[in-house]
Amino acid sequence: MLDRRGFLGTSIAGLGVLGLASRARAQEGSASSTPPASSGDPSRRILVVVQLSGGNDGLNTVVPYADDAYQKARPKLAYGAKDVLRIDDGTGLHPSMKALHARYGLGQVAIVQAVGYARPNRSHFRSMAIWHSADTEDGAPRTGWFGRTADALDAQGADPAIAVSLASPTPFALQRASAPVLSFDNEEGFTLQPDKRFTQGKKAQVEAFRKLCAPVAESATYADRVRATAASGIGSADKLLDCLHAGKNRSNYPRGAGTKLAQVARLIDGGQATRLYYVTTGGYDTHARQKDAHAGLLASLSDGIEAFFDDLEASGRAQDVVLVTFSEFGRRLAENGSQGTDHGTCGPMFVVGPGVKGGLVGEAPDLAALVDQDPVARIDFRSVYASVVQSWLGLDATPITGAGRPLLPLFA
Amino acid sequence: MPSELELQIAHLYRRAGFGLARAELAAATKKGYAACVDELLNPEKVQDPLDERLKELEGELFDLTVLEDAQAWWLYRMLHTKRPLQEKLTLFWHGHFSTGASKVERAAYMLQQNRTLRERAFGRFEDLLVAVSKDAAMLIWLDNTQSTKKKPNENYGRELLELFTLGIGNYGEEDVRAVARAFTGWRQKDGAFVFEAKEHDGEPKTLFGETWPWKGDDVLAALARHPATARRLAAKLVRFFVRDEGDPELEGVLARTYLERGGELREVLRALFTSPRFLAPEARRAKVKSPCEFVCTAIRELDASVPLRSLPPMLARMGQTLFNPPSVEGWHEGLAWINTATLFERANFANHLATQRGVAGDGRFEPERFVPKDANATKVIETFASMLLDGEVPAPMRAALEAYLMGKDKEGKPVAFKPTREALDEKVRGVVRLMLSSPEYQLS
Repeated sequence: MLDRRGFLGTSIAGLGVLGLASRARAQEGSASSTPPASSGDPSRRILVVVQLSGGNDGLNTVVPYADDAYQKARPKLAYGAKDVLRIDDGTGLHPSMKALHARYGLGQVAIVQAVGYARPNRSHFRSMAIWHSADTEDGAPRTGWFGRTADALDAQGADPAIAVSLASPTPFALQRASAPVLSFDNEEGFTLQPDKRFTQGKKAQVEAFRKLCAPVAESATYADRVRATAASGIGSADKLLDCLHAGKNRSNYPRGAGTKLAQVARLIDGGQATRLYYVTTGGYDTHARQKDAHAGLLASLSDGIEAFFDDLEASGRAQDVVLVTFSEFGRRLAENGSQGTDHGTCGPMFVVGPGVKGGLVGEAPDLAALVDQDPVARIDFRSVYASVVQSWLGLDATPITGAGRPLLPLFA
Repeated sequence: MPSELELQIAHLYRRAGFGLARAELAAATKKGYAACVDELLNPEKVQDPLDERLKELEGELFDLTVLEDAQAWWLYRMLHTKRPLQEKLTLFWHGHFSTGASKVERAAYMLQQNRTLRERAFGRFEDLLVAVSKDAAMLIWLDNTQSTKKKPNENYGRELLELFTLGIGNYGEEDVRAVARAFTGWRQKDGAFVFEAKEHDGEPKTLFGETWPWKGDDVLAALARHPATARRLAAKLVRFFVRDEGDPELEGVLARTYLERGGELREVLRALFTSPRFLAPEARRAKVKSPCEFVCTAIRELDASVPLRSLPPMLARMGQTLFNPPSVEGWHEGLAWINTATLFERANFANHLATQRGVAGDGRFEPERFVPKDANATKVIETFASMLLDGEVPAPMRAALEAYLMGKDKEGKPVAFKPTREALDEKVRGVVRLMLSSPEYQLS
């Protein structure tokens, strides 16, 4: 019997509209009755990364509310026992993360604490490059960790749709050794629009464009680099749009990361065979007057993640999906004079999904032992990558994160 | 085929400007390369009614307190300027001193910064750096207006060291804190710089191994004269104007020129545009066009027009929102512009441009102006290749475009192309769209 992925992989190309319509109906049926059991099949598992750009204030996200050092350092910004959404006697979530807190209560959220790396860099760009490449030594890496994961899942380099970026420009994390990845932004623009006066001429234009994008034998010019990406686009876009159109959203998403997560959910529901999705959301560089802004960001993140998993539960795919958040650094323990916080070091990561083993992982940052005014990371971020790559996707993490990354107990 | 001089001049204006129409290329070739460089570097010597024209249009076409209008206003300049290097440099400095309207929230302040960048684009880097540091939009963007003597805000100090001058690896965390203190009290009021002495930390600070009461201006002077700043600017200029991959030899020359000539940018640029490294054939097609370059050169080279307001949203989807770069680091040049989404957007802009059939000046492209009456498919392709691709058509492109132009009859047999009115309106526009969408045209 064909498995679902194999079936979809052939039906969309082969059967066209007819295949899609019947499949969409079949899916509606399954969503309203029993969702197909699926977590048993590791080859269907999906990883979604959500990048919080700008340096999320980790200390006001997973709040060490009982720590005097925290309260003293943040006279204007600290949250107390009464404000936070309690996790335990020392730790609580930011008050606007109600939805994520509820899901934490269901045992579906692992909170990895104080994640970072040794000798932290406080430049947005350098630190982001470190998180993207998983290389702290500035060895001029050619690929990103997510791209290497794509390479491991698609060893032939034949399937650019194995990883989809919903961020433009494509983050370096997705850089593969050879094949391009798919970057998707909006559906109207993800096709060759025809001349409005001669819409019937579209086919001839697409045919000619495909020829312009076809690889040129024994050639390696700069234009050929562009050509490879163009070929991936024209080769994969129709299928992605078919899946997007076949897929449905069954929950309400807030703006921010939610807009992109809604598209991911539709693609998954519509049968897109992509295994890796990458979403970015910004605004976390809160140097001044951060309280309201940060509360809004975290509310939209928490509500977006909730809408996403609600949606996946309705379409019967939640079991197959794990979502991971990260930011390039946390922020300084002490608030500045502008009711904001400057660049810091480590921060928490959320790992969410029905397949996740919920709970706090590792220890809260030690606010009594600061270096350069900031807490020191307790868990190297590559351990989180390695755990997800190895325990969730079933891949050997060594070529992706380097050897010797201790695995964390993130999965049931 | 074009002469070597024509190729050099077309290259010069693609890089130092936004491309040339055929007639402009002919006129520039007559002047010669040296004269062209001289004109580009001395915009004040070139007559340009642009400012007067824009003044007239301001009440009518542009409400400059609205961001979309400010974007359209700047694009109008890029499309119509007779001082193209001035606009190109303004774009370069906007990327370097990247400031975003998303946080500044006032289009008027963004335009004020834009005018400052344009006015000082050819002067001493130190003067530009001081002007930008005192610019209202920048003071808001990097929170210096919020910095206090008691608790300095590090945002401006850090980006000044990392992005605007020295570059990473040339300073430490203690330097960031010292610089942040030096800029306390630098504020703005209603768009004008103010120095609030009571918020300024006048105590001694240690920077570059020297301990004394550094003020903001002292810091800027020291940074502008620092060899690391010279190296960083040289590297950025080379990547922006010459090659995406950089050119260590040329960067060395530019950094030395910068230091020897007291940071005079005009002299650094002269060294760049007259360097054999810039003129070498390997420097051609060695850059990916930014979305602004792609859009503006396409319009200019075809001597066409598109409705101005249609451009900013298209540019945004290609990855370049004027006055809203993605971060304080500015735009990443080169292959970072290219992904599957942005390439479709480019191909769809190409369609938008090639199918403009409206009023001249506000959305018109006239293929019949360029195609001779008896033209065959080969002639059509060569005509537009000479305008868009230095006359160079790789064999696979030629085959694809010829097949497209020929079309098929009912039995599927190829039919020769004839420049009928209908063919000009559909197929010739189609060929231009395809050429603009080709991988080759994405390169400058």
